[in-house]
Parts: sequence; structure tokens; C-alpha cells
Amino acid sequence: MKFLHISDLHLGKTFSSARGREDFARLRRQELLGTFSRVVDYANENQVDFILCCGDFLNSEELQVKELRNINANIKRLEHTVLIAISGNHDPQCENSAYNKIEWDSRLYLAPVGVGRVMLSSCKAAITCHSWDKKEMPTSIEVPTPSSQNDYFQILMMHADTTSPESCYLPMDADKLSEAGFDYVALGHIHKMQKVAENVYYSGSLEPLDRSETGEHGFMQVEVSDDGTKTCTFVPFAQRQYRELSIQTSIDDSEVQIAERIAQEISVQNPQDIYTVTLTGTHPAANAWQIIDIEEDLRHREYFCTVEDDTRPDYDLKQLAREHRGTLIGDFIESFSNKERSVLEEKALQYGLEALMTQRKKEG
Amino acid sequence: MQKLTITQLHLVGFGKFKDYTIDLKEGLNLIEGENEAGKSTLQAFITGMFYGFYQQGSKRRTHTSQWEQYKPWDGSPYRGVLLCQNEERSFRIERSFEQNCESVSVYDAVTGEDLTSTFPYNTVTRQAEVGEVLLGMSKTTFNNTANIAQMTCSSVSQEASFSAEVNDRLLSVMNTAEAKFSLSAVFSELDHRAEQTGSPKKSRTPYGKATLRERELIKELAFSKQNESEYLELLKESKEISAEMETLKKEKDELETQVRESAAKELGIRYLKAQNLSTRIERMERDSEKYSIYEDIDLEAVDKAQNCLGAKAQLGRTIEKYSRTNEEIAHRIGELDSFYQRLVVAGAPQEVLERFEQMQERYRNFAQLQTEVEQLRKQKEKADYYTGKVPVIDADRISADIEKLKQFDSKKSQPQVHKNGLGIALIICGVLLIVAGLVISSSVPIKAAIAISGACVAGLGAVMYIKTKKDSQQDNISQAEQTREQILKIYHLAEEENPISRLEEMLGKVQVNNYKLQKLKEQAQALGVEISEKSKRVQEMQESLTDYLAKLTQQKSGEEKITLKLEIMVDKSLVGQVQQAKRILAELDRLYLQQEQIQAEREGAETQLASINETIETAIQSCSKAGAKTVEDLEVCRRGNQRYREVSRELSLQKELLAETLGEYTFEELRQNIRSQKSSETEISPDRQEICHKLNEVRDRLSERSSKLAELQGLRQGREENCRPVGQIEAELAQVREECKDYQLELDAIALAKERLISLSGQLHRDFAPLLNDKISKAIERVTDSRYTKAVVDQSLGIRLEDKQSGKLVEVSSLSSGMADLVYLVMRRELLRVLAEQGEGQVAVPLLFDDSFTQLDDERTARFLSFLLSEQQEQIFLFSCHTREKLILDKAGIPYHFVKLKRSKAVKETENAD
Repeated sequence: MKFLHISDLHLGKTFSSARGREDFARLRRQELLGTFSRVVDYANENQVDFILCCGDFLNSEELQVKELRNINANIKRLEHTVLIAISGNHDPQCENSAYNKIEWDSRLYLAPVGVGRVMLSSCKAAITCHSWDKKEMPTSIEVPTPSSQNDYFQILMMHADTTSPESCYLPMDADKLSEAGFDYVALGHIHKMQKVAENVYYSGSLEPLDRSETGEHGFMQVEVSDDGTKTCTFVPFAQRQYRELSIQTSIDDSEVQIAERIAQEISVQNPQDIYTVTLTGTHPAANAWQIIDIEEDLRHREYFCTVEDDTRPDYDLKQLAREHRGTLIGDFIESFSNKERSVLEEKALQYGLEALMTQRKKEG
Repeated sequence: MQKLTITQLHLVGFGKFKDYTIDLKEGLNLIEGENEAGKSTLQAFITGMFYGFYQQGSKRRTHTSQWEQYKPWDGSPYRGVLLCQNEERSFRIERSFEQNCESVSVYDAVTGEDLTSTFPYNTVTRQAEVGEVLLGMSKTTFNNTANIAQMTCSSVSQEASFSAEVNDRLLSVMNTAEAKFSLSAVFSELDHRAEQTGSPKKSRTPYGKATLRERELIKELAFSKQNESEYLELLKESKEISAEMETLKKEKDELETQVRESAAKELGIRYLKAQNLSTRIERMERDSEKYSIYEDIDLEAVDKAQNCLGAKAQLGRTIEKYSRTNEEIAHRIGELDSFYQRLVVAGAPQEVLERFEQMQERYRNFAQLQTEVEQLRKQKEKADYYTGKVPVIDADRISADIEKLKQFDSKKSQPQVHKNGLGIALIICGVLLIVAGLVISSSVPIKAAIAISGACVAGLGAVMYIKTKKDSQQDNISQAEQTREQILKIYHLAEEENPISRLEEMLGKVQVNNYKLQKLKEQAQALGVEISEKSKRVQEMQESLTDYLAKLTQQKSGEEKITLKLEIMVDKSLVGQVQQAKRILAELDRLYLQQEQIQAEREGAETQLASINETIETAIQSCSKAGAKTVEDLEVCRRGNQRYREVSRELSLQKELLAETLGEYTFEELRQNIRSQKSSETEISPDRQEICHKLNEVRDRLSERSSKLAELQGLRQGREENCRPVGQIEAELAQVREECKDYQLELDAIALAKERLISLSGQLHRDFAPLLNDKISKAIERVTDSRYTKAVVDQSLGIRLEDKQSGKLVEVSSLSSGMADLVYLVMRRELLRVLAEQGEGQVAVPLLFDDSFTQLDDERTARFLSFLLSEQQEQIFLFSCHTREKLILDKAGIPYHFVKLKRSKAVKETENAD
């Protein structure tokens, strides 16, 4: 018996299109659908018996009916595999659920709300599952029990959060799940693949969905031999990874130079991946880096890149305050000298100082 | 306060200068040189020697643009030496500006002691902070207070904005100690930044666009939610219909199965039915063959002919009826005619009969007239009778007698005149006759006869005249006596009775009688005339009536004419006969007319009959193939044709029925099927018709549901394509709201920065204002020769001067440019002093003026310089490209140290003079 454990596909997710990233947003949305299609191909090519999708298969409210039909068309391509899915917080089985909007192919088995069970006699697998019907579930549920069919391979499917008991997304104790007597506990919700307890796995999201989800993404492949030996393998499957870069800048730099340095760094790593570049160091006192220009430059080079400016103006506030003590500039800096400046104060100080310095620089 | 004096500048290599030394003194140093002679370079050198050329506030040691600007032109060492002294010590500052070996050292100019380490060390510039200690202020403060550069005055034009600029600078100097710093420019910079972000109300700005997008998305979201809700409703309904359809389909399948089974069971019945049908069809085919001779019959013609038969009979009867009527009318006419002939008035023309009543009336008139005539005759007779009875007395005679009596009476008294009139008359008549005989008649005998007669008469007359004349004279009196007696006798009058009055009385009576008689005669005459006229009319009427009566009772020729009396006109018998004759004649006229009409109708009926006969003949002709010869045969043909058609139709129907019964099988196959399903034939089939009915109902319902489902699907599809999913819109909305939040944060930060700056500038103002007001007031009073005694820096940081003459506060902007510039210079100097006093070192810093007096007239310049020098506090450097300042100083007798710079050979051709 061979099955795949996938979760958090978030098909239909709308990516941020801010700062001219409309094309990227569209592409990523399409790539999620493409990756699911590749999973179907993989299942067909590798004689997979069934696929367990542990919630958030869809971003239910963000899909058009025609897109649902396309997803359904992909499910129809499964040759000998059944897709068993539970609903999660992004696709709860509520009234306006996407699962209600079209007639899904019989190859998709969507577990009804609450705890239920599917018996796959051909594989001798008993799959106990739990589906959501709302967007939040702040209280945990009693750990389900395995089927009484002892000779069956016992699987538990849940969309739950084992990382925090305070979670609003069905907080569960990983150890209790592990001790419940299942041969394999397939979990969804956490996007990073991890084994949280013995036999308890998060497959992670099939594709990384935001800049925090760095590292490899894919699914778990579980093979159970006739003698009951189980082999769990993580299969990296995402089209791209999110990566983080840090680039040091100085006042001698220009936007073009910075973009060039980022491009060089990206080309060394993997040009296909998605980068979050943080600029550190300094920028000219009165001129913050034009992030939009840098991003535009990198977009022209066909890199998926978000640039975050963490640079500071090239001046020493204390020094500046001392030099201008008794003057407006000095007093202005002093007025923001409280220990922890809010974001607003930080910006106000920066803008005010930049304006003062710009004015002085112009005249000087 | 310590005064710092620069005593010497030694430019080893700085800009255009190489190994160039200038000695300077306390008080005023006038450094004169043409443009490009190096005045600005010297100012930069002084600043550079104290502070170096480093970026302020930079975290790393970076140079300002001046560093690059004043690199020696010829590549000589980039350094210099500055000697200065305060009240305690003389210093020698040596500074190297060379890249990579920048350094500054401070020595005691007298002992040569290295004092560098006593100065604070700047970790960024990695140099000692010489200027900050010796001048007691930062480079920025020095540059913008003590160093009053060229632009302040030279670039100041007479533009309208000048005064405002001065005002702004004053404000800035107070706030930042930077002369060229403009707070409003800082605000403008911040505003510019805010403009780049925009505002929610400005739809073309990023923030405005985002806000607009947010609104659009909110609307879109509401619409999308509505759309989704409707979609889900439709979906629910569709599912219900689908479920219902599923049930119906099952029901339909079951019914169809039943129908199929039933059909199978009915196969046997079908076979039998088919067999019967075949037999019937064969029989019918034979019949059809039999009646085929009638196939081509023109049924229309036959029908038409047959329809005409009734009409034909009717027409025959009508014609016969017409004949009878005609006969009856003729008989009646005969009777009437015979009766008529028996009448007296028979043969009288119609108009005569019509005039009968008129003639009767005439007859009555006639009778009346006759009576009238009779009566008139009687009246005439009566008149005639009375006329005869009345005596005829001649009144004229009485009158003449009266006259005679009167004449007698008069003659008796007077001679009488005799008249011999007759004789004269006869003579005249005779003459006239003669003349007439001669004139009128044409024939001689007549003429002669007439003339002779005339002559005779005339002769007679003449005789009578002569005789009368003779007698009268003789007999007159006697005659008169006789006459009177005769008259009395005639009238039986006595002489004594007064005969004349008696006669006159008699004459009156006679005249009355005569009048009456006359009247009677006239009456009789008139009656005679009337009788004559009426008799004539009676005669005419009698003739007319007689004539009419003759016409009325005219006899046929040969018959004896009967004379009738007119009285017959009013005889009842005749009246009755006339009326009868009129009635008979009218009746006869009517009968003749009727006879004519009947004749015309009969002719019409005969024409129709001929046409009908023709139609019938045509129909018979058309049926000749079927053997029709008579009208009666037509019915046979028609029936034959009708039968043929019935048989054909029935045959076709039976064949269809057979085909339907056989279904997809041939007769033979059906028989085979029957044989193979022989066993099931025995089962009883359910009522197939009822099942079919049910099935149809189910099918209808299914079809109706299916179309409803399709309709819902169409609606759903419309909803599908109508808008984006709710989640997508929500995601974008969240993103847009985040953008708006960021924009708002930007605006808030800018607002906060501005708020702080305004607050701080206000605070600075409050700190500086009292001291500054005091110092400026004093200085202004001096330089304006006490015209303005008070300067006020108000809350809005505007500066106003109190005009001593008017006692009013005057805005700087309202002053002349020269006065405004003077105020500005005073302000800077006083500000410098305030800053210096407040600084740690409390140093009287040298003042550098670079062509700062271009806006001031000579007097103001002199007054200002005198003011500066009067306190003997600061060393003053006055850089000038004109000789004007020198002349002013000389004229005003102000002592100064003069340094002349020459443009072309500045290095060598310097000239120091006191």
C-alpha cells in the first residue's frame, strides 16, 4: 500500500499584488493549481493507492466556479487513486462552501463534518478523519479512536494545531494523538513539514505560501509493506522556495548597484525561487532607498523578489543632536529621544530630520 | 567674553593660493579684490582651518564638496597655517587637508607647545575639534552666523519676495542658527513628501487611488456576496430539482419497463389484430377495384348538377304558377272590361272621368247662375214697372217756363231784346256745309251736293233771321203775354198764386222725381247688363257641360246619340257609374302591370332553367365514362365515387394500423415472435394505456423539471461569471486597507514631524525672543539713528520695528530693501552674540562679511560698520570687490587694515596696508 499525505494546498489563494506584484500574484495562484496537477500525475505514475489531503485543500471563498471545475477535472485524471480530503479552516463545510458549488467527481471523498471513518478494504486501511464546518475551532476535541478492525492499517486525518494549546485552530496534543493507537497520524494546518510526535506528521503545505515559509515544501509518501513495515518519506515537490537575503548598503551605493548585488546573489542561489531581500546598513541621510526602483529592476531580470528596507539614514542621531544642540535640529532629535519610539515616531523623526538635513544640504 | 583674533593666514596650498600669507589685525580688516581674486577662498580657508571639510552628522568621515573645490590647482601640498590669539594665549593651527594624511595640530604660537591633545577628539573625523573649542560654536553655527557670505547681499534683488525672504531668514536664524535655513522650506519638503502619498480625497494620488479602490472593492464585495448568496440559492433549488428528477427518472424507467412488458404481452393481440387487418385490407382492395370506375368522376360537377335538380323543379313550378296567374289576370281583365262596357260612361277617357267632380261643381255653379239670372230678370221687370208708373215731368221745361215768367216780368219793366239765334245758326251751318263740300269731298257731284245743301241751309237761315227780326219787334209783347198765360194754364196756376215760386216748388219736386226715375232706369239698365252677361255665362257653361256630358257618355260609333239633360250630372246613378269606371280602370291598370311583371319573371325563370339544364348536361357528360346517361345516373356515380374514396381512406387507415400493429416487425416476423413467446401470451397484460398515460405524465414532468433545471443552470452560470469570488475581493480589500493604513501612517508621521517642528520653533522663539528683542532693539536704535527704537519678534516669528515717529510697529517686509538688509545684518550680528554668550566658550567670534552691504547706501554702511567697531568686541573681516567700502571707511574716518588681492597674480601681488 502506498499513499500520499498532502495538506494546505490553498488552491485559489490570492497573493498580494501590492507594489506592482500583480503578475507574480497571478503566477503563484496558477502555480498552486499546477502543483496539484503534478501531484495527480505523480499518483498516476507511482501507483499510489490513495491521497490524504489534511485540510485547506481549497481557499474556499477565493475560487470561481470555473476554477473549481478545473480542479475537479484534475481529480478526474486520477487513474486508480482515491483522494480522501477533510475540510480545514480555509475550506470549512459551511453553507457557502466551495464543495457545495459543483458536483465533485466520485474520486474525491470529502469526509463529512466531525469525526468519521473511511474503510478502504482493498488496501486494508481504516481512515478515521475529522472535518471542519467553521473557520475557527478554539477548543480541542477528544482524540478519535482507531477502527476496531485490527488487521487494518489505522490512519487518523486531522486539520489541527499541535504547536499551541491557545490556538484558535483546533489545538491538539501531539503526544495524545501519537498514543491514540494509530499507525499514522496525518496532520494539516502547519505549513512546514515536521514530525511532531511518533507517527504524527505534518506534511506541510505543498507550496510555500508566504515569505516566512522558507525551506522545502512537498508531501509525505508512506509505503506500507505486506508485513506492515511502514516507510515515511518527505518528497519535496514545490515549484519554488521562499528564500531570504540580506544585502548591506552604504551611502556610496545607488539603487542600480544594490539591484545588481541582489541579482548576483540570486543567480548564485536559485533564480527560480522567491526572495525576500532585506537591505541593511545605511542610506544617504536625506534619501531613503527607492525600493520600488530596485524591485522593478529585479522584476525586469525576471526574479521574484520583495525588497525590505531596513537601512538607516547615514547619520548618528546622538552625534547630530550634540552638533546641533540648542538649534531646531538638535531640539527636534531630542523631542524623539524617548527610549522606545513607535513606528509612527520613528517615521516622523526620520522624515523631519530628512527634511531638515535636505534643506541644510541644499543651502550648504 | 573672550575675543579671538586671527593674526595671520598662511595658505601653503589652498585653491589658487600657494604659499601665500596674509597678516591680519584686530578690528576691521578690509580685504579688497576683484571678482575671482580669491575672497571666497580665504573665507573657506578660515572655516577649513578651524573645522576641516567634513560632513556634519555623518557616521563616517566624509568630506564636503568644499574639500574637493579647494584642492590646490598645481598639486602642491593641500594645507595651511592659521595664527590666532585670545586674551590668554596665541595659537598656531596647522592643518593638512591631504587625503589619507589629514591632520590638525594646535600649538602654542609662543612656546611651540603642542596643545592638540587638549582639544576634544572627534571619532568620526578622527581629528581634534579645534574650531568648536576656540570659536565656541559648531561649524554650522559659525558658518551661518559669523560668516555672512556673499549671497546674503549680492544675490538679494529688488524682487517683491525679498522682504518676505528676509523675514523667513530671520526666523530661521533664530531657530537653527543657520542663516540660509528656511523652516518653511522644511515644511515644504515635508509637504512634498505628503503630496507624494496624497490623501483619500485626492483621487489621483496613491492614497486617493487606494481609497477609491477600497470603496470599489467594498461595493464589489457586497455585490459578490449577494451574487454568491443568489448562486447558492439557485444551487439549492437545482439540487432539489435534480433529486426530484432522479425520482422521476426511476419512476419513468419503471413505467417504461412496465410498458415494454405490457407490449410484449400484447404482441399476441397485435398479431391477431394484424391478421384481421390483413383480411380486411384484402376485402377493401377488392372493393376499391370495383369502385375504381368512379375514381375520375368530377364530383364537384355532379354535386353541382344534383344541387341544381331541386332548383330545376322549383323553376318548373314557378313558371307554371306564372302561367296560371296570367290566365287569372286575363280573366279578371275580361270581366272588368265587360262590366265597364256596360257603364254609361264606358269609353270615356280617363281624364274626362277624372274631371267629373270638377264638372259636377261646375254644374252646380251653372244651376246657381241660372237661378241668379232668373232673379235678376224679376228685379228688372220690377224696375221697369216702377219706371212706367212714375210721371215724366220735364224739369227743364218748368225751369224754362220759370225763366220765361221771369223774363216776362222783366220785359214788362224793360225793352225786350229779341234773339234771332236759329237763323244765325242755320246760316253758319250752311256756310260750313259749303266749305266742307268744297274741301273734303273729292268727287265733284258730292262737292256740289254738299255745297248746294249748305247754300240752302244758309239761305234758310238768312230768311229765318230776317223774318224773326221783323216779327220780334212787333210781336214781342203779345207773345210774352200769351206765353205767360199758357204757362199758367199748363200748370193750373192762378195769377195770384205767385206762379214763379209755385213753379220753383214744383221744379224741386220734379227734380226729385226725375232723380228717382233716373235711378230706376239706371238700375234696370244695370240689371239688363248683368242679366245679359250672366245669361252669356250660363250659355257657355251649359255648352261646356253639354260638351262634357257628351264626352262622358260618348257612344261607340254607329250608336244613336242619346241627348242627356244636364241635371244628370248630379244624378246618383251617374256619379256611381263614374266612380265604378274609375275603380275599374285603376284595377285594370294594376292588372296589366302585374301581367307584365309576371311575364318578365317568367322569362327570367326560363333563362335559369336553361342554364340548369346545361349544368346537368355537363355533369352527365363528365360521368359518361361511368355509364351515366340520365340525371338519375348521376346519383349512382356520386355514390360510387364516395364509396371509392371511403374504401381508399379506410384501406390506407387499415394499412397504417397494420404497420403500427406490426411495429418494427414484418407480418412474418411477428408471427415468428408470437411463436417464440407463445408461453407469455397466456399472461394477462396490464392496462397499457393507463401505464402509457402515467408514463407520459412522468415524461412531461421530467421535461418540465429538466427545462427548469436548465433555466436555473443558465441563471447560475450567469452568477458564476458575474463577479469575482468573495474571498478574492476580501483578500484584495485587506491588502488595499493595509496600503491605506501605510499611507495614513506616512501622513501621520509627516504631520507629527511638522507638529514637533512647529512646537519646537515656537519654544525656541520663546527662549530667544526676550534677549534677542532687547539686543536687536538697542542695535537697531543705533544704526537707524534712533528712528526705530524697538524690535519685536512676535509669536508667529515675524519681526516688527517700532517707528519712533509714528509710534507704530512696522513689518520688516514693509521696509525698504536697504533697511530690511540692515535689520537683517544687525539681527545676525546680535544673534551671533546671543549664541556666543550662551555657548560654552563665550567667545567673541570674528565676523566675516562678504560683499554684504550692496543693498545699503553709503551712510548706512558707515553707520553699521561704526556700530560694529564701536564695541570693540569682534575682529571683522570685510571682503569686497569694490572700492566703495574703502571710500566709505576713509570718508567716515573709520580705521581699518587693508589687504588688496589681485585676480591674475594673487599669490605674489598682495598688498598690505593700514
